[in-house]
Amino acid sequence: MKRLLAPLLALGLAKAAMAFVLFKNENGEPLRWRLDEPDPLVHPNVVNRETRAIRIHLAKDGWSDDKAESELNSIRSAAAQWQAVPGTILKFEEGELLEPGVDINGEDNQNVIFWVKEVAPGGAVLVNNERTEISGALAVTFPTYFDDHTIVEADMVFNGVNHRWFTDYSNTFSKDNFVEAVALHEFGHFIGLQHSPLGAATMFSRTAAGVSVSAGLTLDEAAAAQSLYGRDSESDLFGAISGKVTMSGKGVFGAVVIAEDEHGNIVQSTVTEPSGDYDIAPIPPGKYRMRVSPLHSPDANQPLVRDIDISIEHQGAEVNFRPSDATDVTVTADDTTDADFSVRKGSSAFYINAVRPATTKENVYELAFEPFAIERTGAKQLIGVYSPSLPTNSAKLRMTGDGLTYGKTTYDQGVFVGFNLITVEITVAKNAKPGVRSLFVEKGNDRSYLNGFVEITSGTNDYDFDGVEDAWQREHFPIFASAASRAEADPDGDGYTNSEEHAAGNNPNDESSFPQLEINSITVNENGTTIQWDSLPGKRYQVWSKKDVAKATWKKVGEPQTAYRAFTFFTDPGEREEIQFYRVQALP
Amino acid sequence: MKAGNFITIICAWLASLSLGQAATQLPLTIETLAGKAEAVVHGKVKGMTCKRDATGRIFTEVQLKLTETLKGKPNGEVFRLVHGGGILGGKRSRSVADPKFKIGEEVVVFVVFNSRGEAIPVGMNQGRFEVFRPVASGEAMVRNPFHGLAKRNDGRAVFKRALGQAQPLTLSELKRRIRRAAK
Repeated sequence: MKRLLAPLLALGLAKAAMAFVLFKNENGEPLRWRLDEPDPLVHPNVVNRETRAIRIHLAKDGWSDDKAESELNSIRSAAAQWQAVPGTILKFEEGELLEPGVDINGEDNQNVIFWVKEVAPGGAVLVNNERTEISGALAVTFPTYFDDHTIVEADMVFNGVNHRWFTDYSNTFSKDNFVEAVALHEFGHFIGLQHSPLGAATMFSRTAAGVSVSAGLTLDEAAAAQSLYGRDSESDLFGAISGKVTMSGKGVFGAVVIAEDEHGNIVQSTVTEPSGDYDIAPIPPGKYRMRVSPLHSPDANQPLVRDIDISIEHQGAEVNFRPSDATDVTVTADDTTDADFSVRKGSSAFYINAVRPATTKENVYELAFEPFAIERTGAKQLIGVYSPSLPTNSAKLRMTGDGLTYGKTTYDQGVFVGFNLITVEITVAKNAKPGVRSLFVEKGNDRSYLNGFVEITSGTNDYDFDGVEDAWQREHFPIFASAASRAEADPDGDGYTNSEEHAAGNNPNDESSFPQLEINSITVNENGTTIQWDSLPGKRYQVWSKKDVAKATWKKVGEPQTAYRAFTFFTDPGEREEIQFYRVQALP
Repeated sequence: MKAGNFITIICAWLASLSLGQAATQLPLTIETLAGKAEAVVHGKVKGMTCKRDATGRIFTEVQLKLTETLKGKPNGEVFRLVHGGGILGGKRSRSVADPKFKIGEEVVVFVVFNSRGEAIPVGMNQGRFEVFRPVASGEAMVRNPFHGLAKRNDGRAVFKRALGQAQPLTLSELKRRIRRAAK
């Protein structure tokens, strides 16, 4: 079964949510690096005009004394994940390491990334020539850009004074800050993104400490990278959805527009412009279910997603409207589908402002404000939502999409005083499609959504989109998403790609470790000589033969054979009687 | 409520609250802001100047017409603070967490002084509070992205606000908390 894993991973493991908000100027131009045609005013040390890569320079001292290399590699892994997004020209390259003492400077023609570790008298953490105090931040990215929103350079600083950091993805106990996840988020800002309205997106405005569901780039941000840095040659493979959200004839600012696939996973979403206009692009051709909802309820004192969580420019977003009904939309390649929505003023009678993450323990009542994961166990689990306004009877709590069956719903008013809790028994089928989904409560004509706050997980990850399981790459490579670790690479030069070494469970960095080739049987009959060996599906093999093992030279027998199973038969029809020696070569 | 599970429940709740944090920004309490700040001033934005320093960096100087000093020794009619970034010529330099000021707006700003004696907002946009007066009450209220609106890291505040038990932050309450923290 392990051999089958690789091709399946490419299709099934990446998070399926897309949701992004770009930072546009008054002309609608998004903030981005010009990598297709580098701006001559952008210094070649910032964007290499020959390789068209964004050059980054890391300060060599990292955060800690003893794990600096791991910390730098975590940052490199974050950059590599963005670069790995399929169909884009986004590319990073690393310049020389910098000595400690680096600072933010938007005018020095150098993109720097570093930890600030010095504290000023009084406890201030000053950067940017002592004009920015970052004690309330984990990390900050500082882009400098032209009026047309071409990025001229960008710097990134991690706060090494007020916060602790770690790098081990397998460490599920640490509540320090996971360098890779924070860097991944910051690189999102670095390439031009704002925060996302979906809870499980990497670019959501907040995340949990430690390794959480926000670790790993989602398809949400992949779509953003494709939008900003997509290859022209592939643009006609995608379509777009465009439209306007209105209320009483006027555009609605800050409405969340969601497109879900047939399984109920969020494929892409965005937030409307002040005019009410929105675009969802690029999006693969197919059928989508679309709906519109407010960022939060106007009645919620503690909304889970606020307007300013998207950006300060979104302060004042319209939230006093009811969610729309779902509408089916068909997208075709190289075309834009129009989808306008008209929403009604007013709000649902209830809202959600906390969640009870998935559990099998009936008597444990966790109250959380973060998105949660749910596994495909095929067994009963419990999920819940809280708020002071939730109904205490007759309401339904549901997750969007299929692969789910529901049991009993319970209503509790006394678990946390003042909060009503609705819990539902849910079974996620083992074949449910992994992805990011939404929760909603409905009663009568009222419905309230919590967009993208549940992720159905598959147990394995492929955050660098190459079809090879990340855990194996993390075990064998210091930068799991690097060029050397990618599926098609062969860093030990043994003729087997990482994908093949992974499928066979070999060490990709040891040329003496490769899938063993052994001829398992030789049969001679009237059809010729048939040999059989263990093979890797997809791998090509060449059979050779000679008559005298000591003297004659090896001769190719037939054309290379592509294996389709874990074993391969090959018949040499020309040989039935004389002694022959055979060997099988795995081709690179 | 199942009494036998009380401890488990509370622990789970507290654990979950401790997870809530901004991906890039962690809310500083008003007491922390006041403790870190070397000065806290209340005033109206009178002017802003974008400049380039000797190193080429763009920065913005904000002039406040001082209404009141809540901590520290600033006095006189105009108080000047600076922050990194701004718009100069055809170039803009700005992080998502930089404080934004508008001419004519009323603000409370927590600042520290750098080695050149320039006043810098504490915690970027966390050190700037907008003062506003709802038409209905006319009472001066304050807010920034983490206070006066919903906030998450303070478990008790989260609970209170979610239950509607917390009042929006008034200017007078902010002043009281600053002075108490500064003692």
